[in-house]
Amino acid sequence: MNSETQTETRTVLYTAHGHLGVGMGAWREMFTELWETRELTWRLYLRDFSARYRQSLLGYVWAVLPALITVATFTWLNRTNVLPVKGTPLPYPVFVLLGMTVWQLFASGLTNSTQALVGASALITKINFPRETLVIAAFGQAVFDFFIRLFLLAGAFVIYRVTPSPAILLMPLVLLPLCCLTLGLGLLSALLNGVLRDVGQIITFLLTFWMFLTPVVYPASTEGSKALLNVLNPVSPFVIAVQDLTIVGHLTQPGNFAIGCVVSVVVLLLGWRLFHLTEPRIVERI
Amino acid sequence: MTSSVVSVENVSKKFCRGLKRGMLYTVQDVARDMMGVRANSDALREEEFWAVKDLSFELKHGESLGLLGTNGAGKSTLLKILNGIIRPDIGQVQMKGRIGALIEVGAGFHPMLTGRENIYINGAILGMTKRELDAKFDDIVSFSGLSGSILDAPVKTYSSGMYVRLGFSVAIHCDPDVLLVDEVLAVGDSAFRVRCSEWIASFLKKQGTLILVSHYLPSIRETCNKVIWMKNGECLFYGDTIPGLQVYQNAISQPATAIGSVETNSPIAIGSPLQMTSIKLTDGESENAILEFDYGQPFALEVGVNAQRDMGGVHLHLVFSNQEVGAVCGWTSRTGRPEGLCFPQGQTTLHVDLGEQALVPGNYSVVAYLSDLKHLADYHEYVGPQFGVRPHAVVDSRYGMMMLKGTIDA
Repeated sequence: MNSETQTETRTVLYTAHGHLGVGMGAWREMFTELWETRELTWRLYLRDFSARYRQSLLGYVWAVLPALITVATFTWLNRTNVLPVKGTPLPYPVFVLLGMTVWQLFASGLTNSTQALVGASALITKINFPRETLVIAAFGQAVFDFFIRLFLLAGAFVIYRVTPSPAILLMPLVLLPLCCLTLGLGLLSALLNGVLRDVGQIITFLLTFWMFLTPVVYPASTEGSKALLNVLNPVSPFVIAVQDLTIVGHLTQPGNFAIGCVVSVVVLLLGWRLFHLTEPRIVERI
Repeated sequence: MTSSVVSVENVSKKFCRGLKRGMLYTVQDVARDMMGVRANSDALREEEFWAVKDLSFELKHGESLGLLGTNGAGKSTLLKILNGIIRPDIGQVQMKGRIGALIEVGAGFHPMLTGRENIYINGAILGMTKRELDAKFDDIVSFSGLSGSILDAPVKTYSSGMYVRLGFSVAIHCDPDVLLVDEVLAVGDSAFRVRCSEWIASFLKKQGTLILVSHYLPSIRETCNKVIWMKNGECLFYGDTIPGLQVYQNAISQPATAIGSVETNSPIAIGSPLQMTSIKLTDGESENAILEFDYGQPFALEVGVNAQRDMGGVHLHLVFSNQEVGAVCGWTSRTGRPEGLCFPQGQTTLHVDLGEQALVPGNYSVVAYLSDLKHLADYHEYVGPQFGVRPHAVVDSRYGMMMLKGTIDA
């Protein structure tokens, strides 16, 4: 959108190719828009947040229940030797819960973002406002759930008498790039889902397999073909990094982590730019 | 800087009927956009059609435009283009100031949340800050007329009228410079509609600019000073309201649908000794035909009748119908001339002076009947011209009036 602010009134110009800004101007426009709509984003976040559990009995329990059940299932599979994972540096349930907490931030963040545009179709087709806000607000829900799960994790530490390394306090820093990655992918999948509803299904389906390719229910390996996953899977470096900070106290794979950070930032910028560029056309199809 | 607030230049927009093909086109267009290749915008691809074609107009401060057209004419698409929800394929739109759009009232409402919460959310979506909303909250509530207990219930428990009231109330409180309204106000109850039209009147007085889509022609006549008549995306008429409405009405109305059609004007008369040949509306003073009256202006009818032979004991009946609500009033020669009218063989012209009318501003049609004294057989039914009634500048003309001929005993 080309908008020039004049002294008194704001003039907007809508043309066929007006949104195709190029170069730095477009980036400045995107950042300005993001800043100007921070309040709206927050409102939408609060809206989703307060509406989510209003007609539900269990309420916020839903933020932890799926994680709890998954952890219980994997612990049982492990105990009964169906899934014989050995040599986890923490008691197995705590290890899975730790990995799951990080993984769910990514997984539910991506799922929420994917549905953000389609779910708000009534709004999008009737009111003009920056649609990035919807995706960011939807992702925000996943972040909130993550914080709730942290309490669960803390409880698990107490019950299993695990003392995490003080470096665990650095977790937010490590997770920031993961958030970038999630949001970048989320912006893309939200767009694609707008054109093709299959995308939403594919994402759900994909995430199930993706989790098994991420060291969540088993410790990361540094040998053989499995080591390759630590680099090729963009989520792995962050799950590993959180595990490292909690258990070892420092990053064991700083190289992979650095690559992961770069990839995440690139994905975010790319996703955001594409979103901004193609959004007007996508909205017509929603 | 030009003084126009809304300026639309040769705007066109195409849509695709097929869902799957539409997806394909979107992907193609997006790919073109990203590579910086301009799409061949002015050519239609398979299954595409022009939803809006080559439309241009300009509006200044205080002007209001009515969009006319049957369903699917492209009115809503045009509103969405003006609001920037969809981009034109060709041409450009320039809008100055804050734009308020009521394309669908309450579109931003979350059904689970209360009215109070939704005011804040909808307000934020429309671009208001928290501080602005805090300051205007009471005004918004009082305009909507919703009481406190309703306000704290989830909006999914609201009636559609309550939805509209709250939505409209929020939208107008964002102080728009340009307001786009798409046929939404009809849902509110009459008290609310009156409040809305009062608000719109004061909005226009304060130099606001309005674009209104409505199928309720009297409201367009009342509020708009310009109209655009669209058909299949194209503009068939752009200009002042009164001639615009006349052109539009003549085009869309199957003449006097409720009462009979034009064809009945002659066929029924076959074998009938009496036949009406013309009806002309005048102001009762001059000979000139008038198709547009002011509220309260006197009017008269000239009815041309052709008699096959000398006829007596004939009554003339007139029925006036409002296009929106149907028959509203009538006149009959029985009252003043119980013995009936006489027609010598040949052509006669009847002058019926109806005096001052107090018809609600709107569009009317008149149908005339000739019958015998007992009103048992209609000799002829004739569909007269359609005419309009303009609102009065001073007198409140929202209500029609029937003067009762009472007597006073003092």
